[in-house]
Amino acid sequence: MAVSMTQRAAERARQMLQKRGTPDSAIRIGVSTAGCSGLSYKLEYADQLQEADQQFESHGIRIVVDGKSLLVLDGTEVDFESSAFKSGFKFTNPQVKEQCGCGESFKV
Amino acid sequence: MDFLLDIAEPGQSAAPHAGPVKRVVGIDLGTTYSLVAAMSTDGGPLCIPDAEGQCALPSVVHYAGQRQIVVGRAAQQLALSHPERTISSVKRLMGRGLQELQKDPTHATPPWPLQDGEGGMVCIDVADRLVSPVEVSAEILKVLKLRAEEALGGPLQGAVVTVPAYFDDAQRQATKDAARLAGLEVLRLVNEPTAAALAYGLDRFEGGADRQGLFAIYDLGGGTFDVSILRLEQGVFQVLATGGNSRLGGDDFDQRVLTEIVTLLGEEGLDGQRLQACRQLARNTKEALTTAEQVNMPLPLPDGTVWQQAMTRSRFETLIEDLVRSTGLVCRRALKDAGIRPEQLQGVVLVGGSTRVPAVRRYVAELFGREPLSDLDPDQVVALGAAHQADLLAGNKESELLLLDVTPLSLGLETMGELVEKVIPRNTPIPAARAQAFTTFKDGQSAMAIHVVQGERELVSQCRSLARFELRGIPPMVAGAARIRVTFRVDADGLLTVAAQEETTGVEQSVVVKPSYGLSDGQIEQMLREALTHGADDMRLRLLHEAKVEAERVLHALRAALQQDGDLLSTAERELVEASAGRLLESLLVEDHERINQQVSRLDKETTFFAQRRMDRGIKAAMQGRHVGDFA
Amino acid sequence: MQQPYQDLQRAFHPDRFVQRSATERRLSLEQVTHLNRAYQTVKDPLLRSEYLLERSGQGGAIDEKALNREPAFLMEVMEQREALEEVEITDPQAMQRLQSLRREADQRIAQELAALRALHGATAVDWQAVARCNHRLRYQRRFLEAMDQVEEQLWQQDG
Repeated sequence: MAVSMTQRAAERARQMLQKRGTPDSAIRIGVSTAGCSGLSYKLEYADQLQEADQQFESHGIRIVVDGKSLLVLDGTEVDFESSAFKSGFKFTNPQVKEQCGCGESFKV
Repeated sequence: MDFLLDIAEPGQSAAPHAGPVKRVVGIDLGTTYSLVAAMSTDGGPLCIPDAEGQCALPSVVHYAGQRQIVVGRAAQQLALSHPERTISSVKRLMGRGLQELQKDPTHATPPWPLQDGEGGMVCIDVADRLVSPVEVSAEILKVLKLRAEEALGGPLQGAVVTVPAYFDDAQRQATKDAARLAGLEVLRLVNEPTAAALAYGLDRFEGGADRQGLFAIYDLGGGTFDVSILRLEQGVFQVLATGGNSRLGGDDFDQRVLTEIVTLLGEEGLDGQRLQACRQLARNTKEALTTAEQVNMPLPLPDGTVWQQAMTRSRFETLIEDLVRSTGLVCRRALKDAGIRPEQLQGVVLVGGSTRVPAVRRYVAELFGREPLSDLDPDQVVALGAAHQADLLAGNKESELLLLDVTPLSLGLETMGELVEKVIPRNTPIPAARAQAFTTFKDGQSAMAIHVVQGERELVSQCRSLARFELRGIPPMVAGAARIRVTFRVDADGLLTVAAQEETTGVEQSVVVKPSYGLSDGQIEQMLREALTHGADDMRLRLLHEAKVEAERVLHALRAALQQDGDLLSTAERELVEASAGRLLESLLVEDHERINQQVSRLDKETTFFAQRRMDRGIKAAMQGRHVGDFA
Repeated sequence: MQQPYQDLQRAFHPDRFVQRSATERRLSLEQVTHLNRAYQTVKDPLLRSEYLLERSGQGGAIDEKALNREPAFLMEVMEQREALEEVEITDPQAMQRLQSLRREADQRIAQELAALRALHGATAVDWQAVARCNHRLRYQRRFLEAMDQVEEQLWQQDG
């Protein structure tokens, strides 16, 4: 079981961690149960590890995922996209079967 | 659709659909071109281009066979071969009736037959079907909506749509209907010159030392002319007066050149296609004369030869002189209404493509005694300002900026002798409400006819008729004893509702009239349903999605309110509110939009007292340390 | 007065409530509608005077028709109307004549306004006199509007 980040996403995460003044912190990826199709993604800074956390590394960035979320997130790749009107991290999750019109929440 | 996330602080991830940034846009629905703009990732507004990099979408809609619809540049091309199936400048028909158009001397006959439509509004006969100007406008808006959703990466959560400041109630209502028909949630209708001022004012004054000033916005577009006088002070854009002509613009310049070309051609009875070719030539000539002193006008003839004549800039300026000068009268009146002399202005801003015409620039400079400002693209500035206002209305960022607008035309009632009694005069700040008392003139009179009109003239026949209705059930009384109170309300979009009530007897006989032009709410819903090609299932999903988004928004707002002003509630009251919110949360689990909507309105009712208390607290805070005397 | 008006607008304008509940949106609309009405009433001396008269409860006793019939008032009205009718828009001096009429009207308005200030400043307000003053001011305002229309004809004529 694993999750990963693209080079671009890792680059951006590194910039943001540095700007925040915590270059050594990790990035937490998770899911929460809300939204119009059931589940939605979470992306947060992680200064401390929790008991059930699993760790991964992509292009020099540490990623932590709690055990429950990992079941849903296995195989997910996080990319970073930027254009004139939108920029942010994008989740590509092979397990998703259905997502709401806005892509903000999904079902597996 | 891809959803993009930012990295949040631990535990601070936002609930879905309650995220800090909403996808909203500003739309300039123009006579000849339409644009959509949004806040860019750099922080400023930008127009959203199509796949070929073009921002301006020609406001042209072509109706092909089999219900196929083509919008934009492709439609413009098709206009040459199929003028009878291609509709342009539809904005000039918005909210207008057939008779009214026929009486209007400035109304040029379009290449398609017009008919009387529902609600007294004009309808267009395009080859195999009848369409209303509202539907045609909705087609243009749908294209812009789709373009924006692709660029912004998700469905739009709201739009500001601009209208000419001088648009009357029917024209505004028609614009709002078109937006709803296109599936847009209208956050606000904003006047074009005010939107332009927002785009300009920001760039110049935010953070600067001098944050105060009086400005005139001179907005001459493809089909409409507006002028607004604004006071800009500490981020508040207060419109002092506005004026205009909703049937004057670059189209009329084209028409003058067209007439000249037809005269020079010396042919009579040109068919639709030839006329369309001449129209295109007229437009190209006008545009070329912006920079050139003389322009050749080649026109291929059916016999294979090419007809050729030239037009000089000075000839063009003679042709349009009276049109340009007619804007001066409007500007002078607006300045006078604002109580301002031209020399008190800090600047005059040019907006609209027709202000590129050198003769217009010269005239504005002469009129206001100064060189006008035009450093922002006059075609884009309205859409950019609208995008900024949409961002503010969506609450995407904290800002002290505020737009305060006025009614462009007086609103009144018909009284004895077909005279107009003004109830809300022009240039009244909106939202506004005003009541007028009337009485019966016959003994035992049990009904009273109420005729609502808009305009500045004294005679009813010279004003725009907005609505007619009857107040019935007046108890029998002697003439002059009844007291009928007619209340006019204009909301923040500049839209009117009228209510009438008999007061003396305590009998609640009240009628509320929203002037309706062609389309009722039910009809719009019906058309939306029909337009959804994916059938009933998708419709249900869409309604469910909308209901859930709304529920989440309401819950989010309530949580914020409880956090900020929770002390206004007793423990029992708080439990009541929490219980109501809990019921709404539960209803979210059942996939039924009606249930959810019911709980949303129930929660709203059950928290009315809380909203009222919060409002009172806000007012007290705002008035602290001030006395009534300060306002006298 | 501009400052509190703007502060209240900033706090309560419907634009600030777009994302709130239906009730809050309605309350905001109501509050700002009142605010706009108050702002306009306070800003305009005639509207303010009419409002004070109404609030005094003495307005009902005033006979508007009798005010219309007062000989001095009638004489004034007739003189002004005649003078305006005599302005021929084809006359090259028309604009000057109109401006002198406007100066006269402005003077009358200034006099009435001064009278109103004195009347409202008195310890015991003579509401009958206030009503007379309001009535005359209202007429002068309408006369100004009539002059505006003639002026617009003149503007139109010379572009």
